[in-house]
Amino acid sequence: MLYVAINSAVERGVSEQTIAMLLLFPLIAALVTFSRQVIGLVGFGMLIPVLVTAAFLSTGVFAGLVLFLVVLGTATLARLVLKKVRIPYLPRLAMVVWSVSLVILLVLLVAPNLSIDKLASIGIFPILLMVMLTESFVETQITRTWSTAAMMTAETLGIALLGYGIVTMPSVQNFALSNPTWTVILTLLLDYLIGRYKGLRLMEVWRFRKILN
Amino acid sequence: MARLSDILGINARSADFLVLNKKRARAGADDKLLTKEMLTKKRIPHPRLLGVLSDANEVNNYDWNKLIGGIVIKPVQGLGGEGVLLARKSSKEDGKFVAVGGKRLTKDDLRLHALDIIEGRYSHNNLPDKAMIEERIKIHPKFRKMAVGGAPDVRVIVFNKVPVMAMLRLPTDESFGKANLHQGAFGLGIDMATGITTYGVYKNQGIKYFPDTDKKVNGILIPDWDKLLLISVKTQIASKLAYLSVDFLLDEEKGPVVLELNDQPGLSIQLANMAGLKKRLERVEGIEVDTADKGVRIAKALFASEFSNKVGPIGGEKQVVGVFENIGLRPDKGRRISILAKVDTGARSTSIDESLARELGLLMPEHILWETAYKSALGRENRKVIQVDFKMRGKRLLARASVTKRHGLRFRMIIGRRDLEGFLVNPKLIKSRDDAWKVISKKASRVTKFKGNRGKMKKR
Repeated sequence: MLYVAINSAVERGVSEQTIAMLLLFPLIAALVTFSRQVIGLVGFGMLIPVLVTAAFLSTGVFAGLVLFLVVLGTATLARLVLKKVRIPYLPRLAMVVWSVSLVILLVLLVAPNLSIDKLASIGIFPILLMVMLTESFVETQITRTWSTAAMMTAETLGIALLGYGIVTMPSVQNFALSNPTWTVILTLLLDYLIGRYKGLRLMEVWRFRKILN
Repeated sequence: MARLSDILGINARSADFLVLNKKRARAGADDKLLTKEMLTKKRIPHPRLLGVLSDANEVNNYDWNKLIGGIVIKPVQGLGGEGVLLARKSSKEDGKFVAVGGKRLTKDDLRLHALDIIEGRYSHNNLPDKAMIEERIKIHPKFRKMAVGGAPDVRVIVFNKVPVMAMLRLPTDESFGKANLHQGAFGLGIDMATGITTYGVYKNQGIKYFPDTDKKVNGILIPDWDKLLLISVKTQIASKLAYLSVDFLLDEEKGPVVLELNDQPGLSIQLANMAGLKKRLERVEGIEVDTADKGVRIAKALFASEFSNKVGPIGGEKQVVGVFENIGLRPDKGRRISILAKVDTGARSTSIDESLARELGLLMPEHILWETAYKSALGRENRKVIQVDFKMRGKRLLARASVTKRHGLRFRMIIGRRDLEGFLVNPKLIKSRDDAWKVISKKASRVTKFKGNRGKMKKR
């Protein structure tokens, strides 16, 4: 059913790539859930890892990583500088976003001169996605410790890279496009099974290892 | 020690236990003012509330000068000890306060902190909050040297009216007087039967000694343990939460006072106790517990650590004694000697054989309390009453004993009703106690020895 509908849509001009991504994005969400519920990684919730994966998909890993590091580095620096300015949270965050945007603009302006083509050709959406990441990152730095924020960032990056790897695998894309119904049902089943898991998370086994001897 | 399936993880905590907590009950635990109201209504001891500040106007109009002694300013909806300011009125400078660690605070500093709280700096999602001012308790003398800056607290997790696990939390320098583990406080596991600490956890690591000292983390007895457990169950019943932790402070005069409730207590308590929480929760699930007292008794029976039966009676606990008890009697000089005494509920007071008392040097004037004249079948007699110091079933008693001539009788000391208050007498325990019989045979030899002595004395 779904397969036939997809085929006719593709024939009428809907991008095959877009359909594959739509089928596979829920899988990335399931991956995020798995890393939280079963492994015990914290990350930045659901939205951010999925968004970073999406950004990687449209920029490629190299440009995406550069962008990611530039955004986080600038956000951290900006926050440290703005610490001394005593204004409320939201205006301060707006200033952080301002500085992040400015630095990315600079990078884009410099990139062609350094002949890094991949950076130069980045579209606006991945950039916006990355800038929005700033908020979660800054908030974590404020509400928790810096090391927690760094840890969560690393975990987010790991999940996003893993998600990118899975989604871009030709075999996975082919399976999704040729068995769309199964892809959808299996993803849902996976979500349910992860949700039913009540055992210890992998990180908890490590945390409580002393009791277990 | 524990198996994987004994340990409670975040997933199982949410799926099996947190779901049992009703939304309304949770709101009562999260709002410290509602908690206080509930505690007051149920007459459960808690630190006194000195004031509530709900807007900037109230902060500016509040008379800080009327505060005396130690105060705590904290957010009503605060989480994890954030935004809690501990201060004490300065005794030297008028109108000034001293924070934990010695920092001087003016009234304006306190006002600013209260305003921060009201603006929601420490509340969930930065929603506007209220600030509350509470009196600081007088730290129990036992913990004054152990806790740095703040007051130690005792956390008890209660489920189904049974206390299942407990932990003593000691603030450190880096936790700024707060007892929250993730802020760097020590967590010490507590044996449920005795209230004695067992293991320790610090920064998620198990510890045996307090860092940089040779002081062990185990063996610390929590004062008023039974009372604390009973209050924890009463608090659970009043809170209507199915699964919660009750946090206590230990006041020098009032004993355990309830500081706050937590409907989502952390899991590190398992590390501090080196025991799995899930197994304990499963054991008390579904048991019919009708009174708080019963819940405490169940907890003590189920979750006693191995050492607990080696510990003597603590607090109000009554020891069971048989008809014959081996007691440790303290002579005038030297170590306690073992004597087989008879527990006699028919006698009002304790009595001791005259020759035995003389041998032990207990008839010296400093031991004699008084002499009474009384009539007996033999006419008027003077009877001495002396003070004896003896240990029975691990309990030390200072008793008065009348000195009688008991030679020829099997027992040279009788423990009367007056000194049996802290014990339960089981009249069936005559032969069943091995040690009692061993002592009787020993006693037989001692009797001959004593007889020999008496002979010598007569000669003299």
